[in-house]
Amino acid sequence: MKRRESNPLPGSTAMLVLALLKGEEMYGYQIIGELERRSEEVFRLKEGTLYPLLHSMEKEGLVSAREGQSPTGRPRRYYRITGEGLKVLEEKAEEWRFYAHAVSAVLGWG
Amino acid sequence: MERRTYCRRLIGNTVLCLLLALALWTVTGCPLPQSMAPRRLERQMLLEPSTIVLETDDNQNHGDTLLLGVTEDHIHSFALRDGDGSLTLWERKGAEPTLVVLPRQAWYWTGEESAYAPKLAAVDVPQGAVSARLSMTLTFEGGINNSPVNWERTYGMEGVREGSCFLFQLTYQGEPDGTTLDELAEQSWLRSSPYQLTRELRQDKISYTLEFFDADGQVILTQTNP
Amino acid sequence: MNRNYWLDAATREIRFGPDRRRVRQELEDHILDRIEAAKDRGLSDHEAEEAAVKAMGDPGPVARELGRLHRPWLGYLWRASQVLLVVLALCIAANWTYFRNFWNSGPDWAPPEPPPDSPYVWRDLSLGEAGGYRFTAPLVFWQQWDDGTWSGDVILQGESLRFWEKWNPNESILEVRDSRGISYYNRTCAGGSSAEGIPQFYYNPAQSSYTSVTTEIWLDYVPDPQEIQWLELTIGDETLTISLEGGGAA
Repeated sequence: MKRRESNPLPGSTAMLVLALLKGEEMYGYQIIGELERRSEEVFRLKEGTLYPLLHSMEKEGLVSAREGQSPTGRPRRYYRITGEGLKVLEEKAEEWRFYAHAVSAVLGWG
Repeated sequence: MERRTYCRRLIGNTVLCLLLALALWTVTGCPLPQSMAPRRLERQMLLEPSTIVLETDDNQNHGDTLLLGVTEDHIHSFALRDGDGSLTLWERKGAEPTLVVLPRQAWYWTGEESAYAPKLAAVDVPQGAVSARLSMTLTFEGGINNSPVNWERTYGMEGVREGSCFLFQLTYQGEPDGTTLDELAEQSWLRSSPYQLTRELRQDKISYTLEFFDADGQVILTQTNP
Repeated sequence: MNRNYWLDAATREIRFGPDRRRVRQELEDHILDRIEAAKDRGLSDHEAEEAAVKAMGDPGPVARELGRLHRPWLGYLWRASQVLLVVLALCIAANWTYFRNFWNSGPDWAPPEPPPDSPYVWRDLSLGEAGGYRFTAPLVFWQQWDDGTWSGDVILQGESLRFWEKWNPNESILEVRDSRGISYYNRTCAGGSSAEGIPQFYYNPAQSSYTSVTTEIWLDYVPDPQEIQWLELTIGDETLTISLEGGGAA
């Protein structure tokens, strides 16, 4: 399968990022890496676009950020999911399940 | 720093600024803008708001702005400075003019040098009055430097129109810094604050004649006291 | 394209300086991580940087999005409030004597106590509201002198939460009348000189706290309180009545 760089569905990158942050606090580079690893390199975005996404989610209150430090002493920003973020994640996941179910049914996989 | 942190700090900073400003305002005596200070003085003294009929230049009075306001029964005489001030209450005669003493002395120019003496104002002047004259007699009976003094002098003053009032400036007839008994007696009236003049005039203890003239120089009203 | 060029391009549209520097730092951290990872795979410095910047993608859309997200007004407002705080602190420093005087202003005024043999004492009389001030008389008492004449003492308090316009008990606006209809002579306005034998009053200038102003009105040559039912105080355009019935004659 070819690597994809565009979103399969609008808003899904946000959902994936939220899902990753559900488990632990992460910084941007780590998020990119995890996304690639867990999707077995199916999802790969232009890395620069992750930050506008993170900042807009922070503005909407879905994630919160804290200033920390990298092991080498560089300032680093860590993101974690908020209660509001968990709620949105659940809603999106539900929509996604519904969608996947519908597609499966049409394709006759069910 | 993100938006929410800004918001929180901004609110904190603003609250701190407000508290500091409030503290500063309180310890400096809660000054108000000049236009609001008379209303506050009236509320503090449980008086009804007056209509301002005279406002003098603060340069004449060592930085105080003097205002006269009228209500139905009273004349409020204000001395304002730095957003605060004082109010003196006068009975308003209403049907005829009322003579009041301004609450601060005023500078006047004698041609060569300046001096500082009480000033009076006539409120409720008759219609058609274009000039006015005040003649006032001050007396001093008592002792100065252990010498008996029996002093009396009549001051004639030409009125200067200001708004709806006429202003009359008392001026020294002797030397403002003189040391003769007569000069000292005069200074006892003119040099100290206008408090004594205010008190005695309010109690009708000072005799004066107030005349108003029309454009042709004809007397249209004469008021004498007592 | 080197990384600084990309970072400048991507943060160009964030107008508030501190915000721009912060975001740039976050992006740079990402690129540096990516460069290190590439070098671990054996790429040269130059190749690693090229690859890292390429992975970031086109800075144009990133810059537009970041510019839209990081509106400058909040930052400017924050900066303005900092400046205001400093200006205020300087003003307070310049006016420091006012603060010192405010805290140690004036000797504490102790309210008088009625003489122990005073037959008529009233305490905490509520006089109602006038002109937005709540008036009370914490203490009123009558005492008789050796010559048989009576004196009265009224402690009058005006209260209001408007600390910036406390009641001003100016003597020129005060009038006193009793239930016989007799108006008392205002001795303070007359320059303090006493008038023998006629009912008169004078007053002690006020003591003030944050919310209240307290003043003491002395009454001389007053009748025996059994002869009057009330005392009327006119303050400016308002009138307060102090009921003397019951006499407090404990």
